Amino acid sequence: MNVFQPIGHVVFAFLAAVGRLAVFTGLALSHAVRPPFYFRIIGRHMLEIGYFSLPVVGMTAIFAGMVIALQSFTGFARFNAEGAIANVVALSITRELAPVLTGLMVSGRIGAAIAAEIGTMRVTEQVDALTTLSTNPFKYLVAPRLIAGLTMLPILVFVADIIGILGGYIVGVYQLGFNPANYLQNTYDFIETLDVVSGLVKAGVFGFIVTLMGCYHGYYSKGGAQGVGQATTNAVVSASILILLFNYILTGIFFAADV
Amino acid sequence: MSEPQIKIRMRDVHKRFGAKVVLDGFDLDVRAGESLVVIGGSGVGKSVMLKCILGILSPDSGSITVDGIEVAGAGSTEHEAVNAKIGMLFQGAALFDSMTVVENVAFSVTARHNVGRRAAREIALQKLAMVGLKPDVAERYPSELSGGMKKRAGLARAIAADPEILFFDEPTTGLDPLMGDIINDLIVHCVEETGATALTITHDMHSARKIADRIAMIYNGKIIWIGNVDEIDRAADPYLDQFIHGRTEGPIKMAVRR
Ligand SMILES: Nc1ncnc2c1ncn2[C@@H]1O[C@H](COP(=O)(O)OP(=O)(O)O)[C@@H](O)[C@H]1O
Ligand SMILES: [Mg+2]
Repeated sequence: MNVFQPIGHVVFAFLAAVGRLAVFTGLALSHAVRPPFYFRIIGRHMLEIGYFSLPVVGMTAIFAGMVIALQSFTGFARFNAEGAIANVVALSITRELAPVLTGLMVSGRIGAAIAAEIGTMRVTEQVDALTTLSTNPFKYLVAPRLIAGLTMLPILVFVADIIGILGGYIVGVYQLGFNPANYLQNTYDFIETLDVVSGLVKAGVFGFIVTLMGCYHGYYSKGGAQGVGQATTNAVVSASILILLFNYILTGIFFAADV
Repeated sequence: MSEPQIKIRMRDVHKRFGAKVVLDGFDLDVRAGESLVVIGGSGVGKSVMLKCILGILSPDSGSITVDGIEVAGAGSTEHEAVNAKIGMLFQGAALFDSMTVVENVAFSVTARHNVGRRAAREIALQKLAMVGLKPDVAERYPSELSGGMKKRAGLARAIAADPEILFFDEPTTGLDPLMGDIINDLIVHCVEETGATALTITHDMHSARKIADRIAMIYNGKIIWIGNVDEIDRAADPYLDQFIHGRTEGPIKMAVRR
């Protein structure tokens, strides 16, 4: 019995998938930067990704900020709690929690929807129909979504930063009884531009990952309703894993000097 | 007598998916202005043939020319230029379900002609009227239409940009016989009206006889018979004979899978 044959098959299948994704990404990017641009469609996706994700992202951020404040109070109670908690909340929200949680929420909301929509268009030949109508599917379907994801996620994360810090403030001031002015002053003193900027850069990358995974899995889905369901699952799972992976890599790049 | 002008020429086209050979040395000429119907059983590669011409699939080898322009292995720019001459009615109509019917048809106009939104809409409503769809249907979404109405709307979208070539993929499949016949009549009418070259694929012999000037039969990845529609009953080809009479006994072996 040859044990290498199945292993070889798996390796080849994996390499083929990576290659296909690389080609897909290259094509998508090349169409995203060349005219014609479908501004109306880009605008529609921006609204969908940016504006309509605000409630979900806001809820996520406020509870994240609140729980960080509460949790770190139990750890820091013996020290200078007031300053430390404002610091911990501001840093963990802006650097990690706002971008990662926003990315994950948006992958569930938007990545899944993109995969389902493009997947359905694929299996009902609507993607082929675009081609016959002299419209490039990469230009019309993929590029606008990528542009919207790349530009809207940083804005969402900036909002999440503010709401998350507000969550920490609410718990700090109303539950733990800190002085409101001191809490805000501490937050302001501790937070640095790099903290926020690194989070926004991460957000752009995550927005790209979410929309790319949605488009990619939708575009290559096959086999009717079941295939579309599979594509949706794959889009969310792969985007989530890639978000966590790239979060680690980007943190390493931004804060290598601190380590 | 001069040679008829060839609109689409396919020569020695091969296409396989993994181990499955679909087109195997496929040759076909579609003459300018004619209505050619390609018949054959399900899964023999009729749709694959159309998709190779449109560049949705790329053939493994061989040559496909449209108006003398090679499209096999061409880039997306060449395909876009050639596809601008072609209108296609898909088997499931493939209307964009995020747009209303009239927007679907107008999309086809604006994608190809430099016309404004309002003018495109006017043209779209005209084409919808041509296939018998009233303005109130035009404002509906495809999910709100019956199968026959979808086919009509798909037909309107296919002819909207006045293409020189029309492709019909199984235009009557999935419709009741009456609606199927209405669609057949509409196709004949549209082809006459626009003077386009039409390439239809179907397994419906009644539809084929109605639409075709010439009929070709595909089997085992090749065209095994081609001739005028009135020759089909006199043809002595056993494969063709079995197919048009729908017999289970004969040289065609249906691949029964598992
Ligand atoms: N994209 C594809 N990938 C793999 N196999 C395909 C693909 N498209 C078609 N096939 C296969 O090619 C054969 C011919 O398909 P098709 O041209 O759709 O048949 P039909 O003559 O009914 O239109 C079928 O066996 C089908 O499974
Ligand atoms: Mg078919």
